[in-house]
Amino acid sequence: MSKIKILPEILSNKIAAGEVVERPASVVKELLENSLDAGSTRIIVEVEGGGRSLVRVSDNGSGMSRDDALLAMERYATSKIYKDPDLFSIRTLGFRGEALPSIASVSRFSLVTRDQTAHTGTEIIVEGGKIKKVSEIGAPVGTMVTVRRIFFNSPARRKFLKTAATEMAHIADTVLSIAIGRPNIQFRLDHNGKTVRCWPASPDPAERMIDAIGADSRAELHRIEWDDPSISITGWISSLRVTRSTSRGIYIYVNGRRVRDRVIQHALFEGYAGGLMKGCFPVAVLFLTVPFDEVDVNVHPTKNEVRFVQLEKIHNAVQSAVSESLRRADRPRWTGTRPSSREKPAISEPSPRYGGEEKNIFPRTDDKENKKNIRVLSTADATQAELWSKKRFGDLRIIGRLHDTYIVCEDDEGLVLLDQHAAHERILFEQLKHAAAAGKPSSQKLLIPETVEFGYREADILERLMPRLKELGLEIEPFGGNTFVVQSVPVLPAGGEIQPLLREIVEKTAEYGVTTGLEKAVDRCLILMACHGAVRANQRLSDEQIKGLLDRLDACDHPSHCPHGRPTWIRWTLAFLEKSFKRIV
Amino acid sequence: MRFTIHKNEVLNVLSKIQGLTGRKSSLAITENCLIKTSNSSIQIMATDLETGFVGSYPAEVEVEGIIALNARKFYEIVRDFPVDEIVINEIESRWVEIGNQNVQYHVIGMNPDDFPDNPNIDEAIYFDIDARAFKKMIEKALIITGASDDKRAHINGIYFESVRNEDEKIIGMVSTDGSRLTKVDYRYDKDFDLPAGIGILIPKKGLNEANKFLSSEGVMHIGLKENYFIIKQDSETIIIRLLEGNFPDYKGIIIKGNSHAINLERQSFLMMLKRMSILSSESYKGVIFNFREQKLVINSVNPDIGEAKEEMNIEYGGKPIEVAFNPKYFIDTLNVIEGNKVIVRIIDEEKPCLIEEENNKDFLSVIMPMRI
Repeated sequence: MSKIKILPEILSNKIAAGEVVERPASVVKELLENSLDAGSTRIIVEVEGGGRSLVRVSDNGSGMSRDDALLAMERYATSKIYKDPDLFSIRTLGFRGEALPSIASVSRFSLVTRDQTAHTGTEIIVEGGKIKKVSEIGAPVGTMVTVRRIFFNSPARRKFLKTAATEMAHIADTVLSIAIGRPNIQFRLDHNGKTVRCWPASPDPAERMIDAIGADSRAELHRIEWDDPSISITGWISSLRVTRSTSRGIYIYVNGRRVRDRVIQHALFEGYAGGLMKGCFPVAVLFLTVPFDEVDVNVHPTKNEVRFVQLEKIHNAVQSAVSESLRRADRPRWTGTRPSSREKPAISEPSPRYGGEEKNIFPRTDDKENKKNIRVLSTADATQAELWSKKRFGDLRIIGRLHDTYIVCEDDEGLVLLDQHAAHERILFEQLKHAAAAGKPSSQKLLIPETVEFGYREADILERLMPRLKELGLEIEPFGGNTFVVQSVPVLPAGGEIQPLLREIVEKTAEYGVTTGLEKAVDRCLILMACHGAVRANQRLSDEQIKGLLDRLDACDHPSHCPHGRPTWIRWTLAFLEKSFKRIV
Repeated sequence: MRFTIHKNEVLNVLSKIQGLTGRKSSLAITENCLIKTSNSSIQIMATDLETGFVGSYPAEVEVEGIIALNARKFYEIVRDFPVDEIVINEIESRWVEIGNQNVQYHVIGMNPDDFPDNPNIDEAIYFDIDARAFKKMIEKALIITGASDDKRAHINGIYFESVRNEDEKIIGMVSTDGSRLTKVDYRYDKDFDLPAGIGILIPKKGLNEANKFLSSEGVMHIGLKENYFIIKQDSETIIIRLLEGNFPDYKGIIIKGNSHAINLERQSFLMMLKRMSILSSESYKGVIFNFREQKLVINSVNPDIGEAKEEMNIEYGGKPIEVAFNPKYFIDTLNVIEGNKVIVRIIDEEKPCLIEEENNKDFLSVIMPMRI
């Protein structure tokens, strides 16, 4: 008898379930994706006992005929792709054709479905992977999948399930992250017969996002929009004032699919241009739309990883979109009255409705070059922009100096303090950076070329990086095997050893596909130069000098933070002062 | 212990040891100087753990002893002391009184036993060298220093070697920062020599400190013991711990063959470079040298500031060469050349450029071009 046998289908389905169905939340995810792929506009998720006893997903989508429904219970049966090339341009959330049989193999499962042409629906009951009953039943158009007693036949898995509350939290997270991606679809989540969440269909995901990222971010969100032929990006990112200690507040969607992607995350952080302190993560919701044939979803059965064909382009687009958005947003808001967003009708208002924050996202009037890629939001543009142009650092009334270190100013709504060193540092840094970007970097040839040895993987990466590094003045030549010779080094960053820098560049590239290591090293050098050149604390500035400083600060891209990430200004509103003096309580 | 010192005899040395004791260190004791009496003199010791100094100075010793005092404070007390005679008296353990009837300090010393021991240099072999020549060598070699955070030994250290050819004996110092190199030789014809072929790396930092103590008069004794380089002059001794590492084979870099030798007036070339480097900045360090028929044209371009151009007539008949250099490197070299005639050897825009003094084989600078 042969030792090797083809596994019975029931067993192979269970194996597939091991990958796909990890916990009740995965069942919810798979079923929701099916509902969405079926074109539903209203989806109800009912859960009992944290999903251990019951998960039911019902939708008003296209439904299935009796034959289709039966076929859907087979492994590798799907309506989502038909031929080989389809796999490389997947438009649907699912495509593997394993979700239903996998789930059915580890639960007591029932499927009720009717498509538009049929008069009656079909009910299929499956237990532990075996079809027990197929019958006609009265049903609305759409599909309802009921999953009871998940893992009833795999006790080991069942033991790994956490408490009902924890599992429910996972389910809520799953529903929420899917709901954010599809704001035009109504979602309802019930637990033990009570409605937990209900999101009506709306043109923008604002309310859903607030549920995800916390109400405190509401006032500090900036819209981002980016469009070029290979990628379009929309979404919201938080300013530096709202950060989290983990990356869980970051929601990334690629073509409507929630993914975890380190490269995009890295690009997001880079977009903050050093403003993020160590251990702080921004809050962000990013929707990326990429041509279907430029992204590979077929990476992992759970489908929360993707691969991009043009990794570097995507990285750069995200980074630029984020930094542009922050640049536009990084204007102090001297006007304080901010209508609460709750007062506005949630549905009629277009996306950027975080109250007064609209002001943040208008570019300055002289800002021509960034209109190229950024669609300017059009609501009440003209009046707001005009109002805006009056509210700048240069328009603050200068009261004086505090300990010759801080500049004291007032505006209509309060007191503004600026750190003269930090502000000047920011101005000098941006000047230096623009100058450095304008010129071609010069490099110094080495008298004694330095040899550097890398591992196989790093050597391959370095070889591909060589032309780019040469443009930046770092000239490297292969020296046989995995050894390289550094022939010349850029004038900036000055001095020091090139080897640690080169290793950093290669390691970062290995990790994220792209690197800004060299640019960062140049930045570090420029920061140092800016720091040395800037006025110090305890250095008295004349009124003219202060005026000049404020005017120049207005010309900066990121005037609110010094290049090390410290704030350049802080502000107390009159309301705050009055409260402190107990004038108002 | 109790002794009397004279301000004018110790003030100078106390000021010079600040370079060693002022360095930040995790060992607090190294901020102190150790003072030890012996007969009619005191010994002052200081160290930064890499470079150590010991010197002997006359004093009237009444009670023998040893103390460790904060070097900075002790120096300031002595510097501003109103009269020449200063009495130092350890009243009780580590409680030191400095002064006379009118001025009085009580200073807490540290435990002298904690002071790092100087390496034993008793059996070192010494070589006598003209003080002026040796000091010049150090100064010429030290025009090139690396970045402060560079950890490579061949950048941090000066390569010191002893060469014995058939007809001459040379000790040499070679210094580099990766982009340029300087070589200084000292030729001698004495009977005794240093063992030939030794090549050691002496830290530039230590040599720079040592140079402060050295006087250019008389004779110096330089010696080696294990991994220490020793310089002795009069009653002062400096001990520098050598760096571990290799120095690259620099001889292959010095290529003279098929180069164009151009004779230049040192002073006018130096001034030309100084004028051309006015417009350079941190990001734009380079200037372009155009060697043409009988002419050298230097262009300096800085997009932030502006540009400059200067021409000079030279004897040059080769094909035109356009090559960029950091003018500071040339200026550093030209500044330490004593004669007024220099020879610049250039091959092409890729290869290193050599600068020598006319009729002087003992000094050579090699400078790599830039790409701008």
